[in-house]
Amino acid sequence: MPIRFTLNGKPVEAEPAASDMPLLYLLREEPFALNGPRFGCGLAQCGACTVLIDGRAVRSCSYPAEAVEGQAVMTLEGLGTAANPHPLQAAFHAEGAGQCGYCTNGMIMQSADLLSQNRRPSEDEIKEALAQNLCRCGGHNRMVAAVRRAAAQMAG
Amino acid sequence: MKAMLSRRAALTAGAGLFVALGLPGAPGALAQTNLSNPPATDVDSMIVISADGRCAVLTSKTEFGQGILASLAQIAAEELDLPYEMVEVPHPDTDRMPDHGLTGGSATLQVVGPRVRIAAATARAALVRMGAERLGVTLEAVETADGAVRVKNAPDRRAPYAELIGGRRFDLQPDPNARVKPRAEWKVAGRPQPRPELLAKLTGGGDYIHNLRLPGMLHARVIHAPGLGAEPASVDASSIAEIPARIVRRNGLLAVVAEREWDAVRAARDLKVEWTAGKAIPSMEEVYDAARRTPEVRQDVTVNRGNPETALTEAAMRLEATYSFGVQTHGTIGPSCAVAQFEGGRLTVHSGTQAPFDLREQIAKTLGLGSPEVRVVYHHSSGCFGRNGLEDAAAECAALAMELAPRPVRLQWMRHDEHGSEPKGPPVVMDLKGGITAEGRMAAWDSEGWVPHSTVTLLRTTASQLLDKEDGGAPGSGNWHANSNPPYDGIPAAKTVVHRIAETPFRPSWIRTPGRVQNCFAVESFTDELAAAARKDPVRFRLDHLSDPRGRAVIEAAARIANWDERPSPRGGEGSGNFRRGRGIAYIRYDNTRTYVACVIAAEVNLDNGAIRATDAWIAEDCGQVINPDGIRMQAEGCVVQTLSRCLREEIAWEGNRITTLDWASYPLITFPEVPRITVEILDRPDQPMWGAGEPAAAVIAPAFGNAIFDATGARLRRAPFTPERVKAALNGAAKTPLP
Repeated sequence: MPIRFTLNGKPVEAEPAASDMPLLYLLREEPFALNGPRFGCGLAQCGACTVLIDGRAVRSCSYPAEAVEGQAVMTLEGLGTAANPHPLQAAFHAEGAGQCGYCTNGMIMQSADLLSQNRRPSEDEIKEALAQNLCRCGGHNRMVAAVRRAAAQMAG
Repeated sequence: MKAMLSRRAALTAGAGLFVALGLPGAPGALAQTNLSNPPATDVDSMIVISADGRCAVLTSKTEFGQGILASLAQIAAEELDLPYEMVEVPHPDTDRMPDHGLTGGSATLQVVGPRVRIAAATARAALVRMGAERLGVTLEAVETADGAVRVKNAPDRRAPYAELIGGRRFDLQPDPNARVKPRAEWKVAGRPQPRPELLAKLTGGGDYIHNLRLPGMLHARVIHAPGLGAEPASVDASSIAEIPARIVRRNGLLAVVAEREWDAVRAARDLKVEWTAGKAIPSMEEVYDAARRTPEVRQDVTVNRGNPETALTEAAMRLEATYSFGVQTHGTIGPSCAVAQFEGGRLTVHSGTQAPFDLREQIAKTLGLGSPEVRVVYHHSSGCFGRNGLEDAAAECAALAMELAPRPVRLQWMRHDEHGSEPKGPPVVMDLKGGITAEGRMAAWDSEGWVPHSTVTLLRTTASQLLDKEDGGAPGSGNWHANSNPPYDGIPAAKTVVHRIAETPFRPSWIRTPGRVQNCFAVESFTDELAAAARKDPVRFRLDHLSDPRGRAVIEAAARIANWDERPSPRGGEGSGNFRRGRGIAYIRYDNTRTYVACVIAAEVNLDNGAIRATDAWIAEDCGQVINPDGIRMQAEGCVVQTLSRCLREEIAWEGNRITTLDWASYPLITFPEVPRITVEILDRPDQPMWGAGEPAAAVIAPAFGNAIFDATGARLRRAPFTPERVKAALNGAAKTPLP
């Protein structure tokens, strides 16, 4: 059964391979071939696959593709581009927040969710919001600084 | 930022690099000059200037988050007088790059940095000669700036590098006497520069191996045995009859392949397989005693002076202790992945490997191909921090590509594959004896430790094992014996022995700061025990036994930035409620030959439940001449966080021969709220050689943390990780033992 949803602002249609196919696999395969959401664990434990669904952070590795029918999905690509980055992406770059960078998709998407709910989060609130996102390289403190920087910029 | 070279274009073919670099109007230049096969030691093997004046620095060293793309580009840009943005370090490709060895051991800047510098300086001198001739002036009349040779005091008279050499070869040997810029003239190096690859990674680009999609590509999953050494006994194909996927079986290698990735995932999940029993291994409780009983292949005596036996007998006080470090996994966030294709008699393997040339040899041997028939192309991966599953996935994928030729195959390991089947940081144990004089000086030190003989012969790929074809093992790396000696020359009698044992239960791999993390934990914790027994301040005690001025400088700097309060440990008595706070220090000179680091950690202990936390970490690091201070800072921060994570609770568990810690719930990493404030001070030595910073700071974290917990509570932790149960046991032990 084809499903219809909005992907990074555009209406799209796709057919999941099976009813238990997670959204992540649909987003990463043709024709979308997106790279922002990354496979990390398939268990909703690390956050590397995070996307926004109707504005809220969701782990796409454990979210059935079928369930996005009629919903709005936003990925890292939809947030901003290298030429025109979102304030969070620009702040992560400015702070050097990311070494291998693999986890940064989840960090940025989870932070986008946070900033949509809390325009000026404290350091502890940022750490709490990202507490379920794993980073192996140890870029944590720079990521917290980046979220603060982005929040300050977005608040004007 | 100026437009960067296209990485995607650079990965296609040997010639692709030059397509990416661009040779407008000179289509024959590449063929005529044979740029793609320069002699391995030529300037051209490392420095290429394209027709548009950009520079590519070629090396087999790989970037996986440690910032070498920036540092190597800085070195080349500096010597060539090119803007930083005009220099790129493309992905290694065994068809195109010189073999500078694998990436590891914090050796990239130390080994390749000076070679790139000399090659670039030689290139610049050649460009000066060409430019002066072109401009019709003497060598003394020209200078280089902004990618051109120009007449001094007449900057409009200039000859851009693109016109002088673009797309052609220098045909020069690196000249060790070429003029290298003194530090005072640096404009690009010696200061922070942004990492060129980062923004793409933050915006959904980034040439990760996971993102590589080739036309007609199949998706594969290898089904690894749950038990060590087990093989499929029977496979029930009917169990996945409803899924559009096919089973591929070759010897012990069992895989499923599908057109759509999810079909491969669920086929691997649903396929019913009966496994053989596999091999028996020691239990978790027995693993250290088993190491002591394992046959020794070699013995290293890492220090031997005086007569420790006599000195111990004569010492006023003697201490003995055993330290051990748990079996750990690399914990890569993105599980290993590879793409391979066998077409036209040639196998191309795309991988995030640390060692493209060594991997090429291993794959060629496993599959019965000649080295020239195999090409390995590097792509970014998720931080591996040692030899994780990337090479295994690459070799498995290569084997599948041979079966499914000419279609390209993508193999993505699942989380349980990475946690379960990648090689492990082995168990390490060390017994130590020490003696102090009546005046409280170290008089004797005697230790022996047990480490894997080699991560060379023991580290065959999973594909090599499953196909039962020798692959020669991995390249030499690891040096598990390193820093097993105390770094203090003031100890008059010291002997440290390391037993290199024939095997460990799981394939032993190098994992960030191999051996030094485990050995420095033992050595610097035991040093702290001796200091406490002597009732000396831990910083003062170390300085009293160390003559090396650079070593003393990092210890003093760490103590200064941490605002160290000088007194013996443990603090005793202080603290509010159930919490106790303390501070600890540790020091290393990496491999006894290079980077110096000292670390102070402030820790907090909950006496009720054994929970521990590092609240602050202060690092002082001297890695010689500084190329990118932000890169050093970033690596020091990463070393603190990652090693604290390894100290807190990271430990592989197994039952029988089955690893049971197959996800992040059972093998938890440190989380944001647990990460301490981190302060890094870099001691720049502009006139000294450059040394690496990726690993050394990791070595001092476990002992500094353990020493801080001792300072807070009097409880000594001799077994890492410091799980709450172990902390509670140590607290109970400390309560029963009167403080010295």
